[in-house]
Amino acid sequence: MRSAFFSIFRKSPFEGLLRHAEIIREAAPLFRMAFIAYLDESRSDFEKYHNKVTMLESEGDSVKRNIRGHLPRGILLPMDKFQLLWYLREQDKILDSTQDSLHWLSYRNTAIPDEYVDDLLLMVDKITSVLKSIHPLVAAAESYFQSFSENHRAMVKSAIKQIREYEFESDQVERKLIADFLNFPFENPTSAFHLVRLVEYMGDISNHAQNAGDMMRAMIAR
Amino acid sequence: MCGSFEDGGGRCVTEIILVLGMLAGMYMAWNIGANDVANGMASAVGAKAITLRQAVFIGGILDFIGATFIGSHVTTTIRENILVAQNVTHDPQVMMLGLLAALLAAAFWVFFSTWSQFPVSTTHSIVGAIVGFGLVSGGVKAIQWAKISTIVLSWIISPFFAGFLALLVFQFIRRAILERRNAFVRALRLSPLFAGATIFITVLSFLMKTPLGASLHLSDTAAVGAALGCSLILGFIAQEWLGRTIRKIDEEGVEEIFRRFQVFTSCYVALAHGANDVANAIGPVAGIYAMYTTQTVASTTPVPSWLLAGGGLFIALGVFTWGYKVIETLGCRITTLTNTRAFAVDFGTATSVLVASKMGLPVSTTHAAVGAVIGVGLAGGFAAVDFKVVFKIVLYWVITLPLAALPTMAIFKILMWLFH
Repeated sequence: MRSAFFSIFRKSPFEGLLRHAEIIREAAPLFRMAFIAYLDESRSDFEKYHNKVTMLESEGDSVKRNIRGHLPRGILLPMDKFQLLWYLREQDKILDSTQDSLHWLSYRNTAIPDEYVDDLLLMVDKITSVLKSIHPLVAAAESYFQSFSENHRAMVKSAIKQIREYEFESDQVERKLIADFLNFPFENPTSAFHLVRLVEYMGDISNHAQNAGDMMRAMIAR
Repeated sequence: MCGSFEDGGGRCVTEIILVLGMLAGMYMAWNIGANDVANGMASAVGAKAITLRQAVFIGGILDFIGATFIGSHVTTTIRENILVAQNVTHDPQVMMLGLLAALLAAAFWVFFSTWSQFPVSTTHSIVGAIVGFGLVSGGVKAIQWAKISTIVLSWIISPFFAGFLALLVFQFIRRAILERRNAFVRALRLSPLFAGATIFITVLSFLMKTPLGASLHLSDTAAVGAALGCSLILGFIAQEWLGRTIRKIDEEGVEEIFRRFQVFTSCYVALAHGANDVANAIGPVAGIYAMYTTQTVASTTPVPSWLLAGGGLFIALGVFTWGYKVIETLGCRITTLTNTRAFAVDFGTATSVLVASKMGLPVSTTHAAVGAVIGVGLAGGFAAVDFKVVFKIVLYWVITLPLAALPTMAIFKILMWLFH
């Protein structure tokens, strides 16, 4: 039983998933800083944070490809391989949507009406919380698949519940902001379109996080 | 120049063959130690049940003790009776050269597979080599083909059985302990069952599989009864001991319980390995030695104690040199192997080896262990198991027989040309 015997054991896909979740967590403060820079009309700072998020997204893509590349046809996992791939897809879309939001924001300088700045910042805070909540979920899931312990399973479920709550809250703010922007008498209707689409992109971040949570729930189902 | 037996000048030649046989036997024993110590010890190191130094020390010492004190004092000249002796040769010198060629070819093959880091069975290597010798000296009729078919059968049966058993054991641990609340309390409550089952298999293996156990001449029923008695008593003593000494709770406590079981099974595997596999190296040497002293071809050969001790010594040397490297490599690589999983693998392996060998199948611990890993993997126990590597390993099992047989033929021809 030499080393070939032990090369039967491949690297856990959770190592890559955790790294990917770390990247999402690293993107959270940058996302927030980019928004604040945009509101302060500091274009150079905004671009600095925007570029950093773009680089993180590119790194996330490389981690995602690496995970997929290490899940060949003949692999045996403690969960359904397709569930895992689906989960990975959703987790990656969180990062994609984060990048898309900032890309969209960078296309135009739109003045945000003062009365909606607080709501928009609240939305940004909710999204930041969502971005930070993925890592605890993956870490708990990794522990669960090592121990199969009921405690770790409860931690995974609690992390999923937390993500659902953030998604619900951001959904509320999203609907309010969309209604407000559509009803605000902008001088240029493009501003309304720009802001509505922006809020939708931000909403996608929490939607994908919730989808990832749902898929994780299916993965830990007995 | 030395002549052959017939011309009366063969003593010199047979002495050379004897010395070469001894050297080849040492080399084979070293290979066995270097290769197979990982069987029992690597999973324990990987699961951090014991340190690398402890594994090498325990593995070497127990292999030596197993080989010297439990190893068989009588061995069949032709391993596993796979040759029809009268159809091979009646000339002791030819038989000596054949055994030497087989030993060299098997040792080279095992060395090559160790070097290329693939697990092959040392037993099957020597069997393949002896088949090669049988074919070249006595033709197709010299081989007991029914025996060969049982070897092929064992490639299928032992991994499947070990896999099934490991799957059941891990599923049971998962459902009855890991997934429950108060996992540690449940593990402690069920510990007599696990300790008892481990002790039952260990005692039964010892009584039925090791030569020392066989010398006690217990019937199967008596052996099962003795094992059951030991397991019942020691199982409850183990529970008491675990309850008093473990100072961890939850998952850590559960792992600690299985860590202790695992140290026990690893030690047993090392001991049994020395006892059983020393014959692969010194069986042919003992055959050469007996033919040198008696100048006749016998079907069974007494093995002197010094030969067993020598075999044990070189197995231990193999453990200390290359075995060390192998375990070190493995210890770093297996990070996913927890004590509960490693216990399921060890238990599945040991049980299937016992059952299959009682059924008369020449099983390999390595084959059973690969099957057990797949079983635990199917039960969701491992983060990721690669079937491609499994196919490669199976390929090595299949090619072991021809790749040990063909070089034997060539080496035998060369030796015949040199010495006969």
